[in-house]
Amino acid sequence: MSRSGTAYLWGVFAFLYLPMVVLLAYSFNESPYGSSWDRLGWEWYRRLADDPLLIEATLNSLMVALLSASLATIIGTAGAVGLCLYAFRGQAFFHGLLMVTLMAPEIVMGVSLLVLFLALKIPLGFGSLLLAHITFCLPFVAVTVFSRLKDFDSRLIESARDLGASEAQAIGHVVLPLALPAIGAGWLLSFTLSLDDVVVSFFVTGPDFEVLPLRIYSMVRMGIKPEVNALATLLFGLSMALVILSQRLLGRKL
Amino acid sequence: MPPPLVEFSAVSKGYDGKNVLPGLDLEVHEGEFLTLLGPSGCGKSTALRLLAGFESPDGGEIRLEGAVINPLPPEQRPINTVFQSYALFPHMTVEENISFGLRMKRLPSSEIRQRVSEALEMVRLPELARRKPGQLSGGQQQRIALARALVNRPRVLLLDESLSALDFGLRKAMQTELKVLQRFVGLTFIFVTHDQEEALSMSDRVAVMRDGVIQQIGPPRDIYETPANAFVARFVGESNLLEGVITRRLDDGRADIAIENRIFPLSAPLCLSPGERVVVLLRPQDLQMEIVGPKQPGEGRLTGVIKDRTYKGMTLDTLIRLDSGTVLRASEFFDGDDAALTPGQRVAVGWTPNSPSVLPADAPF
Repeated sequence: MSRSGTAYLWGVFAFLYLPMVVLLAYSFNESPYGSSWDRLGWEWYRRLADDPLLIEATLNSLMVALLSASLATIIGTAGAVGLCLYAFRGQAFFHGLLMVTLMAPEIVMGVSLLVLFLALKIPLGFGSLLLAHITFCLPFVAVTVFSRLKDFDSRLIESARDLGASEAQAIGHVVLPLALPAIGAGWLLSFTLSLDDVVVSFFVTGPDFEVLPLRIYSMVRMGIKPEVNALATLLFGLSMALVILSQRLLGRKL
Repeated sequence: MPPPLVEFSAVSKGYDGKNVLPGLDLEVHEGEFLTLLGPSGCGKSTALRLLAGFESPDGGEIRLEGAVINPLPPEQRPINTVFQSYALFPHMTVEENISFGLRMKRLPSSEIRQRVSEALEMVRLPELARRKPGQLSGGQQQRIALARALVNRPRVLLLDESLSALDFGLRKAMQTELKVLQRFVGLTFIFVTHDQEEALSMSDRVAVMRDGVIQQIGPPRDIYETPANAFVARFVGESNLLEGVITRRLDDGRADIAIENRIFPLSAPLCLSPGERVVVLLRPQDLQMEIVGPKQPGEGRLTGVIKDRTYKGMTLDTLIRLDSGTVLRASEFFDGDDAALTPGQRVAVGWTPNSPSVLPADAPF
């Protein structure tokens, strides 16, 4: 690559990652004021562990992420299998609908879910939050699994049937094992999405059920506290790890 | 006589308004190696998929040992298929692939182990039991697919273009192996191919199909030597087809036929009467050439000029442009010192007695 090309590439990556690097650096800065550099230390990470509200919000977030990722994975996988294996009227239409929910602005989703919950008189809190998270995770799982299924030889299913497997057995013994990496990747992706969602959660959760991203949001409203740097660094690390894992799963060959 | 093992009666199937099989009648007998031969789109694979149960017919009945199997799903038919793409399960080992059908039947594990190892012996690949399909060559995958089907001891084995994915040498070897295996296990094989040579060399009977209709069914030799029509003649083996008209019937079963502005007395089916258009089939190896002078008429033969001579190892192929412009292909065994004919020479073309077949011209291309 030419020298200017290389410089350009570095420029783009600097633009993308500089904020994260700054955040990471400041999270290890013991000075209480963001502007000056004191010395390296774990101070802010220690303080995180002493904040009971923060701990509670973290546990809430992890619970919602685990549940919503798992439920969205089950529903989304079933949907993808149905969409892929069976020919029915409106198949393309349903696939299109899936893509629309994938692209829909989060704020629209948040507002519309809130309106729906109010109309159905569903109390805002854990239940409504979980439903909302399942809703926006679902298309990600369905699309990931669908694109995996679409690629494999439909003769494999016929061949399983031919050898005496019922439809359910063919799905259980052949389709699902082959789609497993995509199912895993879908789950990880959902978990990450759920864990750091702010916009939808802001609309649909109640006052007595706080999740981590909203807790962070309320912390920074009074000015950026150094603990937030530490917390954000942790979250970034976790998300990064999950995304890398999901990409590795997807990259695995059949 | 026992009822046929497999019977199609008036089976029809269409896709998107296109009638792939207008009404197929076919009987397959126990222990037979039957090949459905035809160009792509002739309905041969559809017939196979209907029998396997992957598609259901629009009309007609498919019977197995006399019982109608139309409503049975594929898993309830004692029929197994070897696919063109083999369709081995990539996430299972060879052993797990072969045992799949037996596991679905919930046979005791000792019997499964026994039968899987027998099947691996049969295809002579016992050392590959723990490999994954991705680690096997095309020929090995082909044999594992065969073992996976045969281990279930089906009443009928279906092979859908099963050799097409192999390279030439391997395909030849598998043709022989498949035929030997079929004799050995005594199973009924229904093989689908577009390769006429494959069909002729392996089958007990060949059914030549076109547009969903069987044009001719019979032993390979009948198909090759007495094709029912011009389509079969052209599809099976190399052929020269000349258009002609019957001018007069003779008393001995022959008829005078006008070909290339000459009259030839040839034996012709009695159903053909004077005035009818016919196609005369001349196989390249039945043609004989002789050098003639420019003014010689070449009595009782066709005349033309040699266009090209091609050495093909076993045979020497000659292209002759007849006076009318039609090009014939002649093929002779190469015997080394037979280099007298060269391009540009004028020749008379004759044929071995009784070799031309006269066919009705009802199958235009």
